[in-house]
Amino acid sequence: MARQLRWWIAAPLGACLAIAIAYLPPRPMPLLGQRFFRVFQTFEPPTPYRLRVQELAQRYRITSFELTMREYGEAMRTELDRRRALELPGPTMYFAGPDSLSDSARSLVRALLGTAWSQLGLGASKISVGVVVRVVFDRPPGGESPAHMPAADAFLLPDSTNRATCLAYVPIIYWGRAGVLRQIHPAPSKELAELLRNGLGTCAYFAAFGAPGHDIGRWLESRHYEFALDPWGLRVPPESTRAGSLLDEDKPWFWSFVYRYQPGAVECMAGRADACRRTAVAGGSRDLVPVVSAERQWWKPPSLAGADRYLADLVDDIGPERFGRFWNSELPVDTALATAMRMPVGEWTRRWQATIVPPIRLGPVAPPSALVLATLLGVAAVVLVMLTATRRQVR
Amino acid sequence: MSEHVFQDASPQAPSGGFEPPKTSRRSRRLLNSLPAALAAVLVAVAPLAGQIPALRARADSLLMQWREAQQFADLQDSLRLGRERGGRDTIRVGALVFLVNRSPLPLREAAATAWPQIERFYGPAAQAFAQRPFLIQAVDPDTNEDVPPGRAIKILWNTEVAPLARALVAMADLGPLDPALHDWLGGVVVPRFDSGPGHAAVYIQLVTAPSQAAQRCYRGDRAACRDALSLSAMTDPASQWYGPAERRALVLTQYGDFLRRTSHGLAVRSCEQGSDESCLELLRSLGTLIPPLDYQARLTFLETAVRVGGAETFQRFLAAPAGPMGGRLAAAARVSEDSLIAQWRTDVLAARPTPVSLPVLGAWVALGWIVVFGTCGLRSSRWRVS
Repeated sequence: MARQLRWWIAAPLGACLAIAIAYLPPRPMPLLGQRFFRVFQTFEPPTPYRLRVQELAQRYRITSFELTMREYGEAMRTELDRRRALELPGPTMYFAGPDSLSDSARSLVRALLGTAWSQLGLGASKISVGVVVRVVFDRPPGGESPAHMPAADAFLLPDSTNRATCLAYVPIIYWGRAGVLRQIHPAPSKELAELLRNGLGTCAYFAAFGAPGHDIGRWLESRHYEFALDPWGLRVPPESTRAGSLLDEDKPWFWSFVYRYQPGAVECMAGRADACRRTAVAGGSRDLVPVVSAERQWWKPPSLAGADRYLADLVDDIGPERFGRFWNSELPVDTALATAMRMPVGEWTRRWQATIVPPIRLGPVAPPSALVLATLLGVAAVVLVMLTATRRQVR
Repeated sequence: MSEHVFQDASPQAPSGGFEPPKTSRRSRRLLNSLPAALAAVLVAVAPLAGQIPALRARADSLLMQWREAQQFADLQDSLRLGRERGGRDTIRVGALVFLVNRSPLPLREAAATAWPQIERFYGPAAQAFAQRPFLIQAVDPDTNEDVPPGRAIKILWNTEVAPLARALVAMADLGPLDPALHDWLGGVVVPRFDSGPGHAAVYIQLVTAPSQAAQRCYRGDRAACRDALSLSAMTDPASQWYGPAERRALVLTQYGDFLRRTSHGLAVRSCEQGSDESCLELLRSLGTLIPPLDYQARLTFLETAVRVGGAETFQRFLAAPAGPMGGRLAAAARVSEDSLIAQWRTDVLAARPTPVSLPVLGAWVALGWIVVFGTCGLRSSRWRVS
């Protein structure tokens, strides 16, 4: 073998060896990466007592929210009763702060909420709706107590003690940022209108359709009304829900977010109708509380991607009359849903899910683009070798 | 947007049977609904009366349980921390306290270098570090060793004195004592005066930032500097920081993708076609915008204030009442806000980077290399033997 050729073989082998020493086990991570990350803190899992503290804090927040909302409800009771007696359409409003909010800002919020009410087609309703609006201009100071009001829409639903009132809590949070309501003469904006309209959320269903049937009610309650958090008629493009759930397939984090969902939800994204049905009609937690919050915990995704708008999209699809029959139905959930959808629940849910997340492929299948690229590279390698061999021919 | 109209789903009263006396339609309706309304009020009010105190009692009980559990959890955490701190040496240099495991890490020497700088910046406020010990874990540079978990700051024990001293200065952050400062700065307070490179970086930002506020600040407009650095209350950053063309560019280049995906496609198109109203509304809807001058600029401003005001500036700043950052820093530095801004701007302009000039010889050397490579390429032989 020619001497130069030996060098050409030895050099790549040496390079491979150097890379292997740097990257392969027993070192758990690349040399450079480990050096870099060592300056940071490493974290231990929380102690059992710390977990208990977190659980108690969560229960306290729910109770504290319920208490606060019931107090607001008491403050609104006269107006709620008056509206109910006179069959006046529209929600009762209560501004929970701050006092510095200008009169024109309050009027704007009131007007936009009234518009949202009529856009949803809600007239005088049997179940009165009270909306507590809280504008938060500055970040609240940290305190000793674990109580804090939710940072997203939350609802105190009608229950056995108060069947005729649904209370919505709508926080408008600026936290030092500029915002429409900070201005002295605020002008209506699309964002604020949508925020207030979304704020009616679950209460809009109660106002429009009354109390749900027994089985439907238990199903929704056990799922903390996660399917009925958004009101209908918003026509939010699926891309927006996709981006909000970080399920944009063009983004590098797409797969890591897909696999944060429960297996049933992932199967549903893959277009498996049976899994869609199972996930949609499954019962949820036994911890039944009249409080529903749209506050999302990033580590705990919903049971289906875009679950917030499941029933909203169903209303838009089948119309309010048919949806009303489903909502008030005394049939089991599966049957009531299938009757309203006029197709198997799994099939409707599969189609709906495909509008939110384009169907994914599960299993060890290489994507077509990778196959084409690999084939092209293979062909290129063979052609290169053939050309080289031709050039090195000795005649 | 579609509108749905709902029918009243309440059952109709059956016709025939008992005929009530003739009354007006309204009073008949009131009479009909009276028993139902009374019943509803009774159902609604009676349990509610007792519910709020019951809920309050439950909340109080939960809060008590939470406090108790919190004490146990803190105890368990401190035991864990105690285990981590066990067998460590305590090194005190000035008000700095380090709890560190035994190793050849030259911590004392590095701390002796870092402390004067920290004290010069924070002044008497630096004594706060006596209550905030640093927990340091010197780790083996051998990468086969696992990094132990825990809260301690991990540093390789073969780190030299100078980089270690720089790291200690960077760690000496008193920003958390004032959350407003922390929020405004957008990062940690680094008690450093040697910000020549920092000022040079800010100079480049002033010249190149696509923001009318930054450019006007560069030209000497102090009000614009105040806006660009968010020293006053920012009621509308979109118009205070950026002009119409910049707003359009910002919407299209920085946020266009996000806005189109979040149902703002029409507004983005309108902004693209030149509607400044649409651009403004889109940017306002975002809430938070990219500031024209970043953390580095704000840090240099803080540094200027401390340099102008002397050793006790930070102490005075912490004692100052809440308000816009510009006013607080100026009051702490005991100068007017305009003077402080002017001083900062002078420092930044003085750090103008030296323009890079290409020596004539360099051009000839580059040309020579091109010729060498070209010649080699042309003279290479093929392997074919004919």
